[in-house]
Amino acid sequence: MVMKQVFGRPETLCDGATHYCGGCGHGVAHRLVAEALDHFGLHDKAVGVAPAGCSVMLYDYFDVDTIESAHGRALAVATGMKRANPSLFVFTYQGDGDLASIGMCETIHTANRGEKITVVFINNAVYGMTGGQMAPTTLPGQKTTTTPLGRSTATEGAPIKMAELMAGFDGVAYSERVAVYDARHVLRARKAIYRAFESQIHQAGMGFVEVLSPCVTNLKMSPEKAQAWVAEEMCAAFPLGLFKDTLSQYEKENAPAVEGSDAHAS
Amino acid sequence: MTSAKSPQEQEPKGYIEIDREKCKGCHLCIPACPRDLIEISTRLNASGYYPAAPKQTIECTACGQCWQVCPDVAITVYRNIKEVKP
Repeated sequence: MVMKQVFGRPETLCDGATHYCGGCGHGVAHRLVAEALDHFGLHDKAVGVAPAGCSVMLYDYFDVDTIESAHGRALAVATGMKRANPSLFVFTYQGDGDLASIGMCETIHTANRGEKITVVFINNAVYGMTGGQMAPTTLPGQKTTTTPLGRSTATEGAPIKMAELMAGFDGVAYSERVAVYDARHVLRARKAIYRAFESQIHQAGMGFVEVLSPCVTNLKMSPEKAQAWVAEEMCAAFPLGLFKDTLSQYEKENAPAVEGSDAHAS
Repeated sequence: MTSAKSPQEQEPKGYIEIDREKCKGCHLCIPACPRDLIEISTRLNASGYYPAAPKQTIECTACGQCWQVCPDVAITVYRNIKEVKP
């Protein structure tokens, strides 16, 4: 009888506890990104761009080079990095307050320019770090500290669906929305993140993944209830699915070059 | 887990280890386990959480569903790999 470790900590994920609240979806998303970095062997050439938000201390958790950007400007920083050294693998990890609110301009123009960057977007429908204010992705009727009567679509508008928005740009090769509320969906999220990594590795365009994640503290729920809330309420407002995949077509067209450059990628 | 195994007992298919100090006590692994093999520890860890702990049983199949949902990657899953006889 031989006991072999089958599931453990990815090498790129630093050892030690994170500062995230117990039950926060960031931890799972971090693990998936670290697994993808391990899988594609990007430890030595990956650069992460950290946002302002709960994931601001990303550099403590990933054993790769990381740069901290001004609030919302992660994709502008990533563009500079990628253009200065195209051999780098550049990924940003941003929350909804960073990517969809203050950084909307950078996000849209980076997508429009078709920069070959991987974007992991964590959508938890609330501003987490600053104390639960309304985010652009807050659901209609959801109570936050700045919408105590619930978000009204008449005055605050409807939540922004980033995955659909990004799918509209020619420069984006892959856009998918996933959730991390149970094991099955975590596996789907893993696949989506791998594909978003591949769209940069294969030079197809920007890879975008929106991850619906529970914010336990600001929803004022237990971790289990927060997961159920994501499954029922958030997934109803933000339908899960693949919105754009020109990567597969690109891979078929460029098959010989792809096989030569990255043989082990599935 | 694997300790105190008599020859009459069935071989365990696997087991999990939960790092007490990394666990933040969200207990998401407890509903994730299809066989209900994880419980809440009665002892606090250094951060002041009641961490999850595997039950003393050999029923674990090392499916890894607890590991998939653990936000703190505090779980390590081991599987019994049967040696291939030539």
